[in-house]
Amino acid sequence: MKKNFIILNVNEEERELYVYPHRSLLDTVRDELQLTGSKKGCDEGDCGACTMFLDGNPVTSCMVLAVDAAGRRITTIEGLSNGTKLSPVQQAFVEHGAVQCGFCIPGLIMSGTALLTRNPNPTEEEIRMAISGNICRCTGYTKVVEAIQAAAASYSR
Amino acid sequence: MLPFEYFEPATLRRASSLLVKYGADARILNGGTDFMVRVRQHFWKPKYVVNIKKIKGLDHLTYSKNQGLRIGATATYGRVEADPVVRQRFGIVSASAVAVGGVQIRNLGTYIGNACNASPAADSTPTMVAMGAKVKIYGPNGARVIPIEELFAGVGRNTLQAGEIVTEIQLDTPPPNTGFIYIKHSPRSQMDISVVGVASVITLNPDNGRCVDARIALGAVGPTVFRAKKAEAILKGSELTGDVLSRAAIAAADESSPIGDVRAPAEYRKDMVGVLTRRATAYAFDMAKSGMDVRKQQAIAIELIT
Amino acid sequence: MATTYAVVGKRVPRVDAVDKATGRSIYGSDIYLPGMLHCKILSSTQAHAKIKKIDFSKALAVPGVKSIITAADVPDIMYGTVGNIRDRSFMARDRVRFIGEPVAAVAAIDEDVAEYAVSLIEVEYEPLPAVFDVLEAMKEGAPLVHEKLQEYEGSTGLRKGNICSLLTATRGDMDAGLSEADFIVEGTYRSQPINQGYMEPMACAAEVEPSGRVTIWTTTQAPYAIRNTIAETLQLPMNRVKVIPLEIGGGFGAKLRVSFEAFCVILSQKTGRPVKMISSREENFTAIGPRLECVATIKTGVKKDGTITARQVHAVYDTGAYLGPGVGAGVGHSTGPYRVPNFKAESYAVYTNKIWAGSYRASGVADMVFAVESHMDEVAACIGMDPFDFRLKNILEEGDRSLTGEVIPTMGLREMGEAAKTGSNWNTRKQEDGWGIGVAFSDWKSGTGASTATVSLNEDGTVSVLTGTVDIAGSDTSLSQIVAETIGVPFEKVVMAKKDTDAAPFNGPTGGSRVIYSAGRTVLQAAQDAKEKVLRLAADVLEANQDDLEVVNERVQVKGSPDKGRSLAEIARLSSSSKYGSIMGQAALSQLPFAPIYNAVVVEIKVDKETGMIKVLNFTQSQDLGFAINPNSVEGQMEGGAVQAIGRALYENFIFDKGKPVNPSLTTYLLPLALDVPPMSTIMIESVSKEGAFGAKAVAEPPGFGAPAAIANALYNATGIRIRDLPLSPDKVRAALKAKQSGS
Ligand SMILES: Cc1cc2nc3c(=O)[nH]c(=O)nc-3n(C[C@H](O)[C@H](O)[C@H](O)COP(=O)(O)OP(=O)(O)OC[C@H]3O[C@@H](n4cnc5c(N)ncnc54)[C@H](O)[C@@H]3O)c2cc1C
Ligand code: FES
Ligand code: FES
Repeated sequence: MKKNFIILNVNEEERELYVYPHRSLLDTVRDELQLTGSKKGCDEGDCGACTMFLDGNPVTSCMVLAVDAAGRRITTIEGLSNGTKLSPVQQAFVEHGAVQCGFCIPGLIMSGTALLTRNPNPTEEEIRMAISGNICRCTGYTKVVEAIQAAAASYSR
Repeated sequence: MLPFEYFEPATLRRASSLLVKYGADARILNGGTDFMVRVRQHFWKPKYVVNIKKIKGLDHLTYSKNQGLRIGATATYGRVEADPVVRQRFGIVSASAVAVGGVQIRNLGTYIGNACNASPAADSTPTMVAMGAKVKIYGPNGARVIPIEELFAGVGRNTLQAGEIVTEIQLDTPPPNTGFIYIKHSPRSQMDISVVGVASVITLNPDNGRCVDARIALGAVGPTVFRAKKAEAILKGSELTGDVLSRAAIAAADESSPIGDVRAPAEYRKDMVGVLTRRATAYAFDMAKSGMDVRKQQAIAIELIT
Repeated sequence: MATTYAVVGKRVPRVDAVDKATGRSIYGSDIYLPGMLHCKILSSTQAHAKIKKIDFSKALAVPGVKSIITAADVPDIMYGTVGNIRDRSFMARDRVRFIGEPVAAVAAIDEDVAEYAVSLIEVEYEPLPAVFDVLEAMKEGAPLVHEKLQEYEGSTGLRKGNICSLLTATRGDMDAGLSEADFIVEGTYRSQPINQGYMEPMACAAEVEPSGRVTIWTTTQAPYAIRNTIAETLQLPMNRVKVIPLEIGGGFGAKLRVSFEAFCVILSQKTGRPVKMISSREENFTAIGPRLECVATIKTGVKKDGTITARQVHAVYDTGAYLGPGVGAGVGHSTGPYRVPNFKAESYAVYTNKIWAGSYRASGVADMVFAVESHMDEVAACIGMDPFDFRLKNILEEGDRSLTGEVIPTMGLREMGEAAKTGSNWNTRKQEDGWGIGVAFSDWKSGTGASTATVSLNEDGTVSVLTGTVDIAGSDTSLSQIVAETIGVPFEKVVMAKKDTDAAPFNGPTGGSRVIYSAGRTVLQAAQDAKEKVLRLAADVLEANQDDLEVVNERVQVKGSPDKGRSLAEIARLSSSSKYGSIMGQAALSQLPFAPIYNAVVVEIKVDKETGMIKVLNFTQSQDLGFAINPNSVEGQMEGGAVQAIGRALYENFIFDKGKPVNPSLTTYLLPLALDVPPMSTIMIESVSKEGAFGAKAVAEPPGFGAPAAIANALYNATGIRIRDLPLSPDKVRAALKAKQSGS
């Protein structure tokens, strides 16, 4: 088994790494960079807990090889907040009681952020559509949708 | 996951020669959404992996009046879905994209990956088949163009030869007075493998309102996605009365040969082919008549999946 | 209620929300220890077989593999999943009883190496006759899952063949009750196997120090149960096993007991290095107990006017290869929240060669609610009565006795029912084809069990709280609110200490909706104790009568002369040199009085008669919960529970083929997504309890009960078809509709 040398651009920092080609972006970011905010709920693309942005687009990072992500712009949940200041979507999740066990939350916040970046005035259905690649077993989604709606205000302003 | 050696060829030629060299031990990596699942399950055990996403010029998405729509091999659903020209001219193509996975999967997965994967339950291929799409294939012996359904050899098997790479999907501009729809039928709203998929494309003669062309493609009810030709024959040349639609629906159900599994028993699937063929055709017929606008088409497509 | 509070009853953000929203929270899989090894499990491929031989020589030879263990490395001590019958051990010994049962575990330098090594272990099995269907398993002559059942330690009602537990209850004279009835209605109802579907797969790590002290990091609802099980079975003193509960990524009962911790401990003992195990999603289907099938037959006698005269219940729970929880519900929940004067119930737990039955949102109750509430509608239909009126006619009233003999205290059952009726479209039905509405009631009791708490006042006037009860649903926030309100400080001044099993004495698990009722009352008492000590010292300092003191704006002052006072911070600083010592309040409680809670669900649906698809249009829920300490958390529990129940009603179904899990993946085991969820309206009925903190009772379990029956009832309302087995999948609905058409 041979490792490949790659440069990963994560949250605007370049990281040089040796990785096995079969390692996923999710495992690499968690295990090698210790950015553990992205979660592994299934490793099959089904749950969305591992959602990151690849060149600005939300993807399930368990479905991406780290070697394939080299040279692309990667954003994780850790890259959304600015120091201790939460992003509008993060803030809205906190304030609207949308956070329960929290395991799905980084992924949902990534999906919500991606939606609002593209569409600052989404309908409720568009929000539900945008987060339907994320499973949350705790909240029943109602408060998650409310939080994204509330955060939209600060995007459309 | 089992280890493998990884290549990022910059040209089709190099990619093809790697594929020829390693034969059955090699596998193409495109969006990776089937690849990652299959390899992790040890269902595929490639020793050599050829990523085609670094090949220049494979991610094109172009439209012109004469050439129609061209979707490059590595163009993702996400890109196609968001493209204003595709929305405008090929509503069914962007609308059928939302039938696949969720947002994150659509930002990785590709139409061509879906077709090459040759799953009978693939959600983007029935549309392509019904629209009469062709695929362009690069190979050691040059390029060839075939109708997309000729790619499918059986469940999970395609007809590509060693070293061949599909480079684009080609879709002609549909004639005026054409309506189209894809209905995905599955218990859950999204992220669910189809129990039945039906794409219907109907073209009318504006003078007498009769159906001049009908194409119906069925998913998840046979070893490959296929066209319900007997149903099409009933529709073609006819006035699309309720009776004609019902007869076409029965014919389509007859043509299907589904299996039963965790998702649904075979009998139910067959039954649904009839129901959904009639519905899809009625929708397509309405659209062809009224020239429904793109927004409305998309709204219907979304309503159909929720 | 007239009382106004400063902190409780307010929608304060959860104390853990910021960490979770930024990805900073540490869950089981987020533990990284220096030099740590990774564990992977080999599990049985056979449903029932003798283990003839395990050959792991090839696996051990793989570079990077540090240790491999089998049952031979585990002390031969059995334990039980419910605590009453000791029928299992961590690893299959000599015999496997289900597909997925752990047979060996590998520790290696990384997950890939461990996974590869596992694939090289060869196990030789000698297949034995197996039994999969629970009703088959009950029959005489069925293959025995446990041949030595009679020898196991622990007690159960009955051990016969594969029957490993039987519970019964009677009241009045059932036969007489039935003969009084004008009609007798009977039906058999089945609910399907269900996976809990928590988002965080089990993950844990263990480190054994050379001294033998063990530290376990794990995602768990029950750190003390893990400590105790590990200590008992691995023969370690309890004070040498420390369990550090990490953030729990959802549990719903699945994280109430040991998962893979023992393997990490033993492998760490062998290698001298920390060992971590992150399980795959598939293992969370195949190695962690789900709920299995329940078949319940109910017979009810009823008078023309709608009075229930008698009921007979026969419930059978599939418990898989080892006895799990739930069988009690077959008796305890067989009448629902209704008056049933004459009654007889028996509930069996039966072994089969499938994965053991685990816990899920009040194990076994949801099955009975589906049976009882579907049945209630069938009875109402038989006498031609409105299902809602039929229920309200028969509900329990204050002073009645529960099935288990407790006197029903003041509660809001009728109010809850009326609220669900007026809050939904029950009285304004649509005449559209395919439209239907259905109702289901359910009951539960606020959970009790051991809780402890210590509340200390720090020298700057802030408050620290220590309890061994772990937070799964926002309880740290609600408990902080209770303490803040009681002492009289702002919410922000209270912090919950990080917990581990060394820091606090035994606390019961976080499960069964017990935390707010029991732990809430415990922290309340500890806070009252702390406050009492503050006042005692302040009385000395202020030379006032303790009874004349009050706490206002973080100051202790003499009522009526606010300038005569001291800040809480000052009192705290004075306390350490006072004759009383530092301010510390304490409480330890176990059983609390009976405090039932009730839930009503009204669901509107639209049935596509051609495809059999059911779309849920509106979901109204009301619950008598005492008092909502944090309405956000309460609504969150109610909404989340409801959506799980919708999944269970419509498509969730864990399928086995000859004991082999067919859909152990989130691709094929479908959990509801945001688009599947209807508009929700949640009504909180605050019928305060005398026992709970500020009147709070429980919330979590009942919202997950009603939907399947309510939807089945709505389906009947819409189409006239009655489906008695879950899920209400499109193919079943379509087939029933076709049968009805051809029949009429
Ligand atoms: C969570 C999840 C949900 C999904 N939901 C759906 C769904 O709803 N409907 C649906 O239809 N599918 C679904 N899929 C499957 C998958 O996303 C689609 O099939 C997708 O279109 C595959 O495209 P890809 O580019 O990712 O293919 P890849 O995984 O990269 O490749 C798929 C196969 O095609 C071959 N291949 C790819 N490109 C070429 C080429 N240019 N020439 C020759 N061979 C090639 C590859 O070697 C491989 O064998 C889902 C997958 C996941 C993980
Ligand atoms: S871990 Fe990637 S989608 Fe579940
Ligand atoms: S908050 Fe627990 S899974 Fe979403």
